[in-house]
Amino acid sequence: MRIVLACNAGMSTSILKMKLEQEMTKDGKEPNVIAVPVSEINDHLENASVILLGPQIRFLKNEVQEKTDVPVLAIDIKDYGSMNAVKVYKTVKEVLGE
Amino acid sequence: MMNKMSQFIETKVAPVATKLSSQKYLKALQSTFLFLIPFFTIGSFALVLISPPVDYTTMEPGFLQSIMAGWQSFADFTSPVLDYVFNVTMPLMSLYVALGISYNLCKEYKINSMMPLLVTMSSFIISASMNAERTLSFAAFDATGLFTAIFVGIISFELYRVLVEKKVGRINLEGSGVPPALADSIGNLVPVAIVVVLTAFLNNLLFTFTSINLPQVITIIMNPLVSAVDNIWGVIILAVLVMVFWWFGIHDSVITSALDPFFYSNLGANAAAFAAGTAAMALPHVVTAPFWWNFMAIGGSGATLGLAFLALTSKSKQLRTIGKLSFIPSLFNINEPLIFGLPLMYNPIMMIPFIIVMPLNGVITYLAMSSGLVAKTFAYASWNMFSPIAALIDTMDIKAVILVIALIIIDILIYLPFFKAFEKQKLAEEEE
Repeated sequence: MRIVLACNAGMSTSILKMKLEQEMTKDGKEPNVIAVPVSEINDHLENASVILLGPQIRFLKNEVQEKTDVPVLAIDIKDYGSMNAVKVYKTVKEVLGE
Repeated sequence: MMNKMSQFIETKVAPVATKLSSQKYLKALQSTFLFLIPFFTIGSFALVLISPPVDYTTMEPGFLQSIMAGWQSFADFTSPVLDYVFNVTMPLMSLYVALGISYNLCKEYKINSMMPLLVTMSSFIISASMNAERTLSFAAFDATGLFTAIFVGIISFELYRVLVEKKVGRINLEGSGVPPALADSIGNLVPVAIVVVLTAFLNNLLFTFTSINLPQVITIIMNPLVSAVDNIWGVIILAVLVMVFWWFGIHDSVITSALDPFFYSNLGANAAAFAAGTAAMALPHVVTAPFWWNFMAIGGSGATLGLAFLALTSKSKQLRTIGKLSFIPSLFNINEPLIFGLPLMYNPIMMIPFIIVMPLNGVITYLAMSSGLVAKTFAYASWNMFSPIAALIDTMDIKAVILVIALIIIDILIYLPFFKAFEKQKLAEEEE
């Protein structure tokens, strides 16, 4: 599973990236998360299992979804503010039907 | 009421934000400046290192004088190298922007070829060079050619792309066994020729009739806009607008990416003036990228560093948790955990300070710099450098550091009463 996180500069999502990787390791999965600026998203669509957008760019969801078949989600505002990787990971697994 | 408002935002404002953010030229411009940040930072450090802030020969003998004398000999020793390092950064920014726009538009259109980059670069070089002797000239490769780079970059790229797409003058080499790369280059010989010849022709025409070149014409046209941004009212209006967007939880890039050319051309003009010997107090522009990101957005948009400190020391467990999470990122001007976690977004109690604190920082800094109290910015330490240190690098003026520390204290004082009211509400919730 490869999780692609995107925000404006890929900075604030990189905080969540570290926490999500810990969650994946706990879950017995190879940690595979990257945080990228949304302007570079085209280069990271390949091999992505799911794309998560920071809430500050939630309005780009449809725009990104048009470019890919994998699910594109805007991260819940509360979960993002508290960097709640447990809940974000749970949502990802639900969406991917795991 | 709140529901109605957020509904209004999601259905009316968000689509506008989407449109602007996905506008391909604005997006290309934003990506270009993102790529150029290391160049600005490296060039800034080089310029600072080769420019001791005080001339030691005018100083009283003592500890400070020996430091400055040491700095001067370091500068003399390293400037054969660092002069070049500076000269390939900010003084060439427009050339890089022309290339960057072409590169990012190629990605947007999924064009996998070097040719558009070459075409755009040569078109920019012609437009920026045009002079009476018809020689190549570097003069407008610096900040003065920035709007030309954007304008010529987009036009020449699009013209080339359309010509290739419409197969104008396409030399068909397919099936003749030539490698694909060669088919791309020789096959498009006619479109390349059309763009380059047309650019040279039009620029010549302009110069012959007006005896000024395109960068000079564009400077005259853009001048009112540049003055509108580099102005205390411009700062207030833009900063309030940015903060209103953030209060709705929408990233400022919708507005600030359009401001980048102004921020960086002003910075480049200041750097060039400083390198040419102008005193930092007397530089031409106040509002630059470092002015905005290092003096106004202390701790992130909304100047929330002080607020992060308040959260860290809060009596409310919930707010303290967010404080712990957000304090370290805040030192590096990342404040999404505060905006979405505290939260500031849609928070009616925090709305007033969140929207007014950053414009206020702008007003105070503008007045301090335009009155000559504090040196203006000529270098850029990057947006995620801890603000007091960044302020020193940006200006090489210790008074700028004092200014930033004073701003942090002022910001805390303004946030404090609102934060206390919000904290009380949270504490009451936690009691239950």
